Amino acid sequence: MSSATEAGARPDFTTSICLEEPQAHNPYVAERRFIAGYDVAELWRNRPYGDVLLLLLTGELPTPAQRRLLEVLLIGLLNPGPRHPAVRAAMLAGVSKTAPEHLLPIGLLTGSGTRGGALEAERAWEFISTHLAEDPAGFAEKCLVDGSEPPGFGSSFGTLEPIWQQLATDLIAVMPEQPVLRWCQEFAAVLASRQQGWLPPGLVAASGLALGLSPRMTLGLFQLAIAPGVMAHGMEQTHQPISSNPMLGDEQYECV
Amino acid sequence: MSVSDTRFWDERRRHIRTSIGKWQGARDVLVRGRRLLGDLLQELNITQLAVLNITGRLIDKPLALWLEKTVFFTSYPDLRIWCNQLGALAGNGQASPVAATAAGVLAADSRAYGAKAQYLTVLTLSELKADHDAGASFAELVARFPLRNGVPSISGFARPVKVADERLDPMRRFTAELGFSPGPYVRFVEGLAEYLQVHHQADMNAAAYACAFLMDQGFSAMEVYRIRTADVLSGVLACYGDLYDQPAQAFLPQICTDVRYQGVAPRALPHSL
Repeated sequence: MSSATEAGARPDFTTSICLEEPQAHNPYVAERRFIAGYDVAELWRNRPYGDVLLLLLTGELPTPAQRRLLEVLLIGLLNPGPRHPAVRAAMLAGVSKTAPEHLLPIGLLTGSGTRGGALEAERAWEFISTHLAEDPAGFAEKCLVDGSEPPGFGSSFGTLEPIWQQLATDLIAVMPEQPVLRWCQEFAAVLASRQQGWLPPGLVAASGLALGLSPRMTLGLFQLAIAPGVMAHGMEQTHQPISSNPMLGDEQYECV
Repeated sequence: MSVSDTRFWDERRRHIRTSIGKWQGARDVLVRGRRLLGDLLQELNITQLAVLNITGRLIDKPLALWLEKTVFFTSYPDLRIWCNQLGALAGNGQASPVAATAAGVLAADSRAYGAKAQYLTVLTLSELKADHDAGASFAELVARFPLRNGVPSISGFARPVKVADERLDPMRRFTAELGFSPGPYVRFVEGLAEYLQVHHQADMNAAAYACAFLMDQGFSAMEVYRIRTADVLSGVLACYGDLYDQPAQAFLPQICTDVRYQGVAPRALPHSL
């Protein structure tokens, strides 16, 4: 018997997410695997992917409204577009013949920062949850006067990005009485006077709060959400010649 | 709706303006205004070049050597260290060495150890010293931090294993041998460490000393973060290589119960709503 199975032995890790039931004749192999108490085989036979994802993130199966909210969010962010820094990074790597298994990590790393990336989603979660008790319209006015940049909200190239505002509207339509989503929508409505509004990290943060996710799980949800577009665009570029993304000429590069 | 003012972005669309450098095809490369092949190749070592690229600052050879020597302390080939375990797992899975290194370097972007910890240590030391200079005592400074196992949890003054930091004395020694005298930040951390020894049976670790030294040399927290980014690289690759040719699943194999489950007990799946 392995020492780790003896009473009192310190485990390598503890987890509340996953139980693995060992085979009787080989303790290195799992006979069954459970997520938050549910047999994975039962889940794949009976539940859609989104339900199991939320089970993984929260420990409980979602309500129909939660399931739909996640689905709308994940479709909305599935491809943030080829100019999004995370996607663009994967495309640049793909066209420059980087090993294809690196493309998704490259994109997610590039898109991990506090400006439009995964860290901004976490900061937006903190920002929203900290200010939920305040009047959203009044607080938005204060932010505009202060010139502060609320994480999760703002402009893109100096203007509102209509796709993200539409996604917010459709998310709120799924859960119209959800207090976090309502607060954020009222907050964003005031910002619109200055061409500011919802940005993807804010959409993920508000949805994460509405779904009961922690700030770190929300950060991870942002990465999961954009991953398909990052991966697909990156892989597509691997089939292009490296010359299809030409270097800038000397006349386009000033060294001062 | 009015037309957006996009001049800022228009000026940058398909146009780069920079001072860091430029490849001058078939002739040379400019690095911060200097010729890489014509001048720097003869004059600099790799660390001087790296710091020049990272910060724009051309450091002297003794400081470059100091930076190289301190990497001896941040990249042990010990398979138990977290980032090195990633190298071993990647090696045993026969991932590429670059993937393994990237994973290990990312792992060391940690508030507990590695590059990020040093960044945080510089920020902490900067604040503590400013307050100390303004009159706060060591006791008042230390009281701000929570106790962990009776020891104040101060960035740069903790180790995962409670033993003396074997790196401190050699680091002090070669710092002196390279001709450096303790500056205000090093004197500050030595004083704080002495207080912790007397009152908490604690000490600084090598990160506090190294960060204080680099602060005395005029580096900012972000510059330290950037210079230290890849410090763990060689240890990670040592562990990667060690496991690469071993049989699959050879690195610290786990039985199911090595991961202890403390969640909800197995339950029946309800009917879908």
